[in-house]
Amino acid sequence: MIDSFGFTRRKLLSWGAVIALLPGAAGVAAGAMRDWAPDDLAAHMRDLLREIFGDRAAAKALGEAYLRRYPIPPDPADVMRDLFEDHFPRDASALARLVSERRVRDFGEGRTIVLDGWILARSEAQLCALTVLL
Amino acid sequence: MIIDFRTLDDGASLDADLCIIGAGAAGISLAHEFIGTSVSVCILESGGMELDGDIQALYEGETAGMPYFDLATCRLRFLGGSTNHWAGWCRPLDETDFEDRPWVSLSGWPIRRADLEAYYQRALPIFEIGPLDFDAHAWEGIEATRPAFDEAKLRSIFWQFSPPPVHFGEKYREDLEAASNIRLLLHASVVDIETDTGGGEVTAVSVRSLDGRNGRVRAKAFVLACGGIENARILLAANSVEPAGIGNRHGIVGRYFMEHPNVHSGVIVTRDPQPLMENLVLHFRDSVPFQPGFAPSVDVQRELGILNASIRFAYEPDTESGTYAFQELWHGLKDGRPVRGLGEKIWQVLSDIDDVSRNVYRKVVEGKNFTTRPRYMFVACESEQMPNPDSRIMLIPEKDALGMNKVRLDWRLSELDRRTVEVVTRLFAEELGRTDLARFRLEDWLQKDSGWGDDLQGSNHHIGTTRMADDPRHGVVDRDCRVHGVSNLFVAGSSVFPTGGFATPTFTIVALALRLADHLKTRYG
Repeated sequence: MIDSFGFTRRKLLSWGAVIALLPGAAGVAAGAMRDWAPDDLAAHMRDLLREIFGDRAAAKALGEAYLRRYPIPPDPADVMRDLFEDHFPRDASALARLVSERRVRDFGEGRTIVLDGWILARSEAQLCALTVLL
Repeated sequence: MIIDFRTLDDGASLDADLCIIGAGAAGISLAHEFIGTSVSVCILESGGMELDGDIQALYEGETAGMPYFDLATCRLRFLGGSTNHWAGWCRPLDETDFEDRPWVSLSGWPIRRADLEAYYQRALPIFEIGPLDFDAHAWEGIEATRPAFDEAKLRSIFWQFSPPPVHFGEKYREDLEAASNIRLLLHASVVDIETDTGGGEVTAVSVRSLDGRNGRVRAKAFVLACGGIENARILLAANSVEPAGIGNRHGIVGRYFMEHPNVHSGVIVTRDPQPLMENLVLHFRDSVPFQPGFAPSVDVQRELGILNASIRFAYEPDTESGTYAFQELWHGLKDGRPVRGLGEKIWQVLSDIDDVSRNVYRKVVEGKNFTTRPRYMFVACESEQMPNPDSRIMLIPEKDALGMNKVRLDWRLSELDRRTVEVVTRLFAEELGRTDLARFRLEDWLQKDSGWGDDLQGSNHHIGTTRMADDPRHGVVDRDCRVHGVSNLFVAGSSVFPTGGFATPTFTIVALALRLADHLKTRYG
């Protein structure tokens, strides 16, 4: 079914699954990124992303849209450093909490990105990009 | 008393203290103020009691520029005027709408919001709404929770609805008929304004009916109250003494036509629509419907150099939901009328029983209204338009059945008008995201650098064509709504607004009409 906005209801819901991805989570279990070996860091992050994204394909699509802005794909470590500063999450709830804080800050300060028309916090877009980069 | 002009002798001449041309919201509220006074009032209404195709055709004209409604249908020409088809949205203009804003060319009224405050108060009972509470404070009077938006960016605003929309002709007809000092002439179209040889005083107006009858009305004072297009048309057409038309020595009559550009600026997606569905929709306070919305704060307008604008949540109900079917069944049973597709509706309820149960629980236990699941949710933006001299009404050679020149409306929008919609939409999207209520997708046209979407339309609000200014070089009427250079000709209606804010204009039209009534009473009472 195509509605008057020119995209399918299914697509809308699927995007929605990505965009409303972050549950409010209690407790932050975070550590400094420097405490992790690079390979461990990437593997750990991959696991966390798998855990928090209900619709990984949709997250990837958004991530790809974000990365198309870069002539050369950024280093995932740089993206993580920018995203988490020095508070690398140890578990999915900590990741959700951290990204939620970044989201509030990004939207409040106008640090938003338009991807395929969606207005997202920069941190949300970066998180989606990590699903592609890692 | 009400008189059909067609029953008078051809060439009839009438005298009154005050002649009001047009019996819509402005004309009727103005006339009503004189009931029981010593001032004799003659109201000239072009139409009759009901819609008539031949009379309505007198509104035909051309449009150019941005796509616009058919001029013959976007306003109504019979007793009550366009209040016969309005939706009842009421809201005063904001304080800032009256102020001189350096980033908005030709902004600034000669009067301030404070000058209208008492008249807004007096206008409330006319529309059967109230109290005069249209901003964040109104959240306290309704059963809804204000979203945690940053009011320093997006302030809460409310519209109130005249419930049901007051049709001025129906509501005030008996009062006007019973008033001994009021004569309401129907089928009496004004085709010319006569002045003395210097053009400084109106001596009479010429009246004609579609059956060819002519007449004149002489008065001490005249008020044009025919709407934002016709007010300009009548002034421009009255060119026997002033070649460019009355009040048009500086070429302003008909210029600065403004609307409220009305668009859907994007869609909303959320996992949980309930907070939006419960709080951002219509609520009742003492039987008066209140609709919440948002507008950029004055600081944001100043900092970002944008116009005033409103943005509100809206949704298309999911007609396949159980609650939707349940409501149809319920209303059918209650009203005793058959429900089309009864079996399907019952199945729809049974197969979506969770949705129905949730709503029944909310209604019975929590006393809340049913909320039908949305098919999709979107944002409606209605904004101010910048005064633009090239956005205008002008006469064309073609004539109507009464021999008056028709008009061309050339509606033009500016880059600032578009940028305002874009900025306000993004602010709303950011607040939705910050509060994690939802995410927002911009309409395709807003993802581009310029242009408007196919769904752009006006709001049937005709503003600014006889704008108010102290300096005759910048306006047609002065702060008392008197035409510059003419001692006894006044204009009522949204054509006098120098800027239009985003608020629906009818409430301000009536407030200004009441203010004009006080002025005229002082002068002619």
